[in-house]
Amino acid sequence: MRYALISGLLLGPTCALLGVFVNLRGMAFFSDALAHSAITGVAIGFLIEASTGWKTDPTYFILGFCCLLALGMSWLAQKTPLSRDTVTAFAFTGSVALGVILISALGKPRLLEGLLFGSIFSNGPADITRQAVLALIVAGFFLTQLRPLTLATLDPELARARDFRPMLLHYAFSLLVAATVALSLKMLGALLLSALIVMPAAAARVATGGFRGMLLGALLLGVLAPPLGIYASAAFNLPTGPCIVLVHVAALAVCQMSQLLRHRIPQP
Amino acid sequence: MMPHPPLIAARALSLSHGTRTVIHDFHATVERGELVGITGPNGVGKTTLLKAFAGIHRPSSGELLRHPEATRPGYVAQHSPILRTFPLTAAEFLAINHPGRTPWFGGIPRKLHHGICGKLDCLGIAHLAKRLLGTLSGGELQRVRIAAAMLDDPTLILLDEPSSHLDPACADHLKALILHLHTDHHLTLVVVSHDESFLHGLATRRLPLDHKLPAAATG
Repeated sequence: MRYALISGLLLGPTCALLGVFVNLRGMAFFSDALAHSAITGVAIGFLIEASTGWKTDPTYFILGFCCLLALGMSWLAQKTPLSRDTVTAFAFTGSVALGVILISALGKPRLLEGLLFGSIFSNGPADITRQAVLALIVAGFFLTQLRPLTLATLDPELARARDFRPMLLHYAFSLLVAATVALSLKMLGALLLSALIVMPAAAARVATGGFRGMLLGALLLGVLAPPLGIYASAAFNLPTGPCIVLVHVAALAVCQMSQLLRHRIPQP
Repeated sequence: MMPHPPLIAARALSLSHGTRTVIHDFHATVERGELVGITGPNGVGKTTLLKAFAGIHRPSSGELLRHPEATRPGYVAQHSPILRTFPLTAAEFLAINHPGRTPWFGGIPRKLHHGICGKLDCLGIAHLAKRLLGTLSGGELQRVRIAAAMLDDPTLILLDEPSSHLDPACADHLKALILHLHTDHHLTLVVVSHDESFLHGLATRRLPLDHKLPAAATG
């Protein structure tokens, strides 16, 4: 339980912070594709283990595969006339298909269930260490690169005119999303993970409308939702991942409703 | 008295997109105090040329000399639809465009407050500071973008199709603003426009680009 809470408190705000720019850059599908492609990373890890006898933590294979896929998708979207959505769909379906075939061939079909739904309680000290390092890197990136990243998201030409490097920023951001997805997989699993990234920023944007409000609101929801979900899961004996996602869904619904009411009720 | 050297001098300049050359063996200058209008049909390389002047598109061959005062010109890119959906206020837009390295976490940093409000005030749009970009009219948004381009007090301002997406009345207001910057602020301006009527009565010199005569553009 302690590790689950620490993991939630590390990954919730990290995902939420990245989610602000995942929303603004229209990369929600990209993060979803990365989460699903993790299946292939695990399968490759087991394949290497089966053929060489070299046993290591599958998280490293997931991390490596997600980062490579993120770089590959960004490169293809830049170098080919295909739209980013098309490249993502192609990488998403291709890697999932490969992963499922490898897992079936290895005779480990039960592995899929764990990957798809995750379990925050399976986090151990090594996971917490990796997640803490990731949270520090993401925080450092935002503390130093928020202005260039915002300008590059808004208008890459303007960013270039200010001597920033929008493509480099895009690759760095994509890698951070990939690493976050890989290290958060145990928390929610491939099916639900993108909710942790996309929803806090979406709810905060609906509630506040402005950039600073979106940033702070997303962070607040990112901090609050995992403990609330874990508590609800323990109190009502429900699966933890879906409980965390439903807290985010409820927050988004409340924000949307309050906005609708604010516009309906005439201001004095 | 020695004449002032040009702010920009292009000699045998060629510009490419990948393997496709859009500007070939181009010669032109932009002198201090001019208001140059670059005209020509779509796809002739007007925007690419302006980006080269701004230093964000590298020449494939030839020379592009920029006077030390023109190495960091104010640049107003073409209309970008994302501006309409981005949750930034006009003042925040200026804050992220600021040339300094002041850290920014939303809002207007205290250190930049004076400079940003001064620029908005200078263009008569101080009242728009707290408005989200998406709530501004086309003309207001263009003024905000010009204010952002003027943040480091450049000698040269480059505007790419500033009147696109504007109705005729707004385009006239923008034209008056550009003239005001030229005559009262003594700025040198280069305006790219496919709309000849927008440049009429505005440009002191035209630089026509043509598919057939890419090199003959000394105006």
